[in-house]
Amino acid sequence: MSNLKQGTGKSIFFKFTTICLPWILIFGLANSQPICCQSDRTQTEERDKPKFLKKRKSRETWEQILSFPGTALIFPFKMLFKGVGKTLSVLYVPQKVGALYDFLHSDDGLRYAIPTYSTRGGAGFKIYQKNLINEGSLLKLRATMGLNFRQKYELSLKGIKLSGRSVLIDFILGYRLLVDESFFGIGPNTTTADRSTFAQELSWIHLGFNGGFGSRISMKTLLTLEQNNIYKSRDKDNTHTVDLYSKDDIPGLETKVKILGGQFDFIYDSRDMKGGPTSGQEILLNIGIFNQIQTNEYGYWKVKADLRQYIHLFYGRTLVLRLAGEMTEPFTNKTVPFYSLSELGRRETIRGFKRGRFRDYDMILGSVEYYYPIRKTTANTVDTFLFLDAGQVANNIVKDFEFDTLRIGFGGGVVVHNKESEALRFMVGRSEEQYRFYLVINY
Amino acid sequence: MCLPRTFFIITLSTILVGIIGCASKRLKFKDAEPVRYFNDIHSIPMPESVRTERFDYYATVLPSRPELKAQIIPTGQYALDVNSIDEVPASSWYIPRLGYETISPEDLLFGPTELGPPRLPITVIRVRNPEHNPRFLVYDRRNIYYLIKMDPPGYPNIATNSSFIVNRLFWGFGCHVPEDHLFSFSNEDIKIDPESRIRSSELDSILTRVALPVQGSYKAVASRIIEGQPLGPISEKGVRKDDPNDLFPHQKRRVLRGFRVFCALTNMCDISTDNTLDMYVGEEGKGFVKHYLVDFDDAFGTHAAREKRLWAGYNQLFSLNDILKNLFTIGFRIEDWEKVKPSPWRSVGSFESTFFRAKDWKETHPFEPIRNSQPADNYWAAKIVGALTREHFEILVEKSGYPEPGAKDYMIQTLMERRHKILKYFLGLVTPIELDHYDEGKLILKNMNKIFLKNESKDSLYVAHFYDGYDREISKPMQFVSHLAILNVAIDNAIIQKSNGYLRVDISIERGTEKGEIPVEFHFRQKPNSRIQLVGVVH
Repeated sequence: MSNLKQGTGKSIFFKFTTICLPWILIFGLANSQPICCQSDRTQTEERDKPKFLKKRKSRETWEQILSFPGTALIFPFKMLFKGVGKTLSVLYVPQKVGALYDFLHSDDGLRYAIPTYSTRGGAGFKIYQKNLINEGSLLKLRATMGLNFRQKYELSLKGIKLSGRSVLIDFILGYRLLVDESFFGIGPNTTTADRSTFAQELSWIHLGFNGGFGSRISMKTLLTLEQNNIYKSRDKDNTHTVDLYSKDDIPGLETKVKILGGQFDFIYDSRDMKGGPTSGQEILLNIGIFNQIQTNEYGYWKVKADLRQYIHLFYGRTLVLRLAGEMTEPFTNKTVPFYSLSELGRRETIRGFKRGRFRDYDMILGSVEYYYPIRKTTANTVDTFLFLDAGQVANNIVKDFEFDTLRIGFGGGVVVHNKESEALRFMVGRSEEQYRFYLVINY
Repeated sequence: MCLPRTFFIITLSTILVGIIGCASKRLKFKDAEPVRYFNDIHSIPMPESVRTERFDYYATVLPSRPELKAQIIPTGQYALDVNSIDEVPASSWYIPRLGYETISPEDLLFGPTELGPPRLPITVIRVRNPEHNPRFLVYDRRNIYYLIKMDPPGYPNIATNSSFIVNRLFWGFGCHVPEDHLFSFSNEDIKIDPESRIRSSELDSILTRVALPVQGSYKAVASRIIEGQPLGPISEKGVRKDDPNDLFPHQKRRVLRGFRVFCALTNMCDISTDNTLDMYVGEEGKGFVKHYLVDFDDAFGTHAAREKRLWAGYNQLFSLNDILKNLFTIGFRIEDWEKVKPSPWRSVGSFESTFFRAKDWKETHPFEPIRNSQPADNYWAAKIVGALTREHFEILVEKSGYPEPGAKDYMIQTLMERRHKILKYFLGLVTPIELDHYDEGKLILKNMNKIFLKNESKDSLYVAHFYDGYDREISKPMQFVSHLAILNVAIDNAIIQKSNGYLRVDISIERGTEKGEIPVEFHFRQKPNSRIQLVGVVH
């Protein structure tokens, strides 16, 4: 056995050495020397060719090995950036979108389109055309659509100047469909167990007359015509409001309710900037009277006040104090449709509660917000903010206000803004009942 | 113990030992003259032109920050384009000027001038960025092509002055730069090329988007189009693959790493690949690639004024570190740039020196060579900045023209203060001592900190250690105290003999304002008659 092993080993080695190796040598020699003699010129060219040194590696092997965990960790982020970049580069190039881009954007900046999103209205776009009728006029078209086909469309033409007069006219035409709104009952002590849902379809026409008194004060008279339809919601998991209540229990629970209104606005705005203000005040006073046409069942007046004080603390850190109130009073022998009652629970009121959580005739709301910048980009600033909201609804807020039934919501968020407007606002609100997330883009 | 586990432990230990061994390996230098000129201009075929895709650039740069990558070890390594005495030889990347030759203020003012400013009238061929920061490609009456840049509206002189002054400064630093000149023109001096697609009304409209003319004259800076074939920007990392002359990864080039210092002085915070340009110079097949730095108009306070970024020079565009710090400190962390107020002069903007800190200066978009810069790289660049004097700044500022009263003096003072802070910080990262020469048993040394900052009033305690070629200490350390900038260190013959042909002298400063963390190493080889010759320097 051992002899056979040794014999096999020698045999292979012998074969390799005697047969293969000479051929390898011949092949090597043949390639190392030219077959024919080289001319002097060729030899000179070979000598004159620069001898380029070896390029050095960008990263040494040991660097690559040791940083591999970190590289693997950021790989998804890198791919995300690249993906977003590729998508934007495709969408951003006007040539690819061609005629549509040219239609939506003008070189002089008077016409442009921007995306928009809100958790309530859904995603869509807004198209602006400035100076269409006269200098300062603004035509705006907004279209958004959300989950379960909730929709909002609005066409507005603002700032129309009557010849030679300082009064400006606004005209707004709109439609909104909200498919799964919540109703918890009326009063400050409703519970989440009382929740039912409904769909609301609202159409409106507004005609306004504006007058300015200096740069800070403006007043507006508004004539409105609205039609409300209340239907069953598309939410299959909850009770429908229209099934649970009747029109007699809850005024407004019907279709084709047309209400004509007249409102008066007083606005005082002394903010240092519209987007991300750090100082100044904002006061909105609104009084309106509303009456149903055709049936004459609904009729009421409403007064709203919304006061905000912006206090600059230091280096762009801002405290915003807000006090808002609303009173609704029906006319004699008339009622107020439930959707026109004062309401707490939207992102504009107390954050952290469902929309429409508390409804009653009157409402009072207080809010403290603290803004501080975390990042400034080109002309935009990214601010983080913390907030505390507190409010209450009541039949008569003056008589029925109680600290015990004050509803509290708190939380924080991020806002991206420039000096003119807000581009994005993301908030998380927490109440005794739940967390709520809000996102608005170019709203 | 089972076999796979044993194998794993042995392998891991080997790797670790190897790494530690490589990390601690000292440099040893050959007996050769240092390379003063690196020949990287061999004839090559024309490489392919490259472009930077903006989003690809962001995708590569922004998420690749060390903190995001959880980098275990720093990526910076010793620069590869340096010679044995820790200097950068001349090449297609760099020409030693300030600090190596006598560059008078007049020389600096003349700079890269060859053909001079455009001779009016100028004829417009094309306009780039007509909406924001317009640039005109023109030719003058000699058919010489220039790129014309102007000031942003509301900020006269800010961009044109910045472009001219910083162009000259970077020329002085040793970079290849285009020929930039300040000049003025009126509406009558500008024509449109018949084959251009620009209309006269369009040109008039574009001219309303720049700073207003003064007495009918627009001020502009004309950058002569560099001769050759443009190949696109210099990549931040790696090499140009089809350029055999390009040997060293760019993030490991001291010439580019030194931008941390040069850009901090001038607040050229928008440094990125867009500010670089590779040009193929020469005939096709017989040329080579030359590397230029271009576009200096966003230095000083221009970037902050044009882009409304008061934080330019203090923060990067995206810094997760800063965002998280700001987020969790709930607004109580005040960053330096928040205290900066624009100066009263529109031609200066927010360029300042009070809150400027050399250590914390940052470019807007992370630039890989800057992020990889080492103390030795910054020290090399700081020495070059140290060669600038007040007279250099005065002549450049005077030529640029700051019409607002007080602006000129403010600019000169600010540049001097920034220079001082840069020198103080970057010279302090190493032991800032240079060998002037060796003379009859004495090392004549220069303390660059005392030379540049003129603080000879204070004593410094120096310690010198002597080693042979095997890292063995061959003599007791020598201590000496001096307040002078020039030092004499006697080297005993016995030390030279004990060194057995290779002597290393490590000098550190133990006490003094210029105390550095890393001692400087001077490497010598023994010559006949007990003489020693410098063969290497490590900072």
